[in-house]
Amino acid sequence: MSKKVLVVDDSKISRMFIRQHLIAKRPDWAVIEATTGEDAIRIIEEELPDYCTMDINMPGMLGTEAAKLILETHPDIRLVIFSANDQENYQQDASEMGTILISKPVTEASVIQALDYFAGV
Amino acid sequence: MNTLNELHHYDVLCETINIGATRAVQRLGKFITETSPYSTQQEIPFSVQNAELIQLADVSPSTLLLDNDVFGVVTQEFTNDMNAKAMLLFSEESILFIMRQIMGEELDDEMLQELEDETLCELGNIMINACISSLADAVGKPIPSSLPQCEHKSCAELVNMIKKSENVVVTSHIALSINERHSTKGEIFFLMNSDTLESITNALRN
Repeated sequence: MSKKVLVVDDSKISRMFIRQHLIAKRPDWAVIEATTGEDAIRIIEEELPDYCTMDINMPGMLGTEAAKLILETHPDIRLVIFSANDQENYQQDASEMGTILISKPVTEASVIQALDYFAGV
Repeated sequence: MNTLNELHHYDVLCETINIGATRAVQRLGKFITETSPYSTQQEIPFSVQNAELIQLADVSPSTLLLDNDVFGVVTQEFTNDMNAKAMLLFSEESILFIMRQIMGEELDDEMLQELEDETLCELGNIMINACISSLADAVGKPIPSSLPQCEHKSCAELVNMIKKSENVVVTSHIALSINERHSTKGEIFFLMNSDTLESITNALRN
């Protein structure tokens, strides 16, 4: 069944490669993008995606703050944190939210890890 | 003059930076070989030279191992109580070479130029955060940092900027052998004042 995934990242390069790997693995999925946590919160309300990938360090609010708000209001969305900043405190934040932190760079293997998490594997 | 004890503390800091730089260059290798679905690169051999602490009076192109005219520079400042910043430097030639490895040879010059700063910024984000994360985990507390800032500086501008900052520099020199014909190298610098140097070395000691 076709799904919708929101990719939140201020880096054009990261968004480009997450999109490419997602489309390669799930060609029937719709991929939408946001560049800040604030935009992501707005787009979630409009688009109601099934899944979300979230960067941490972006202009404006931290991705972990946005993720927390999104998961509080939309607990059915499966969300992973994709970040180069994998300090222990952020890994702990992700764990407390019931999600996972996947370290950048974005690779085929890391996108498969996200897809497995989305599928509940 | 530094006491033997102080020198030992700096060794611990340099060793921690070595671990961070190794993690950073491993991620650069992954970025080149695994990020693009079109990459044909295999695993890349790399080396990391031992990190070294350079006092302000000794800062020069040769002590910083700067042997190019112009560099792409990514900077992230620590935004906690530490007065420090981390910098990643690559020659312009190295940046374009890395981009061609990632994006493929078919990318035209106009596209390369358009994506150069974006790629450099993301490279910096990945590599600097690998270093900062290692340092944060070693000192046992979070180190928040600013967003990566990307710019292009001449060797003289870089050296002048570092001298004006009145900070000591911890340098780490990294090299990758992309293939038989080409190797690329870069520098990771941590600039910090004496209070921050002391604070980090004390945290590492504890």
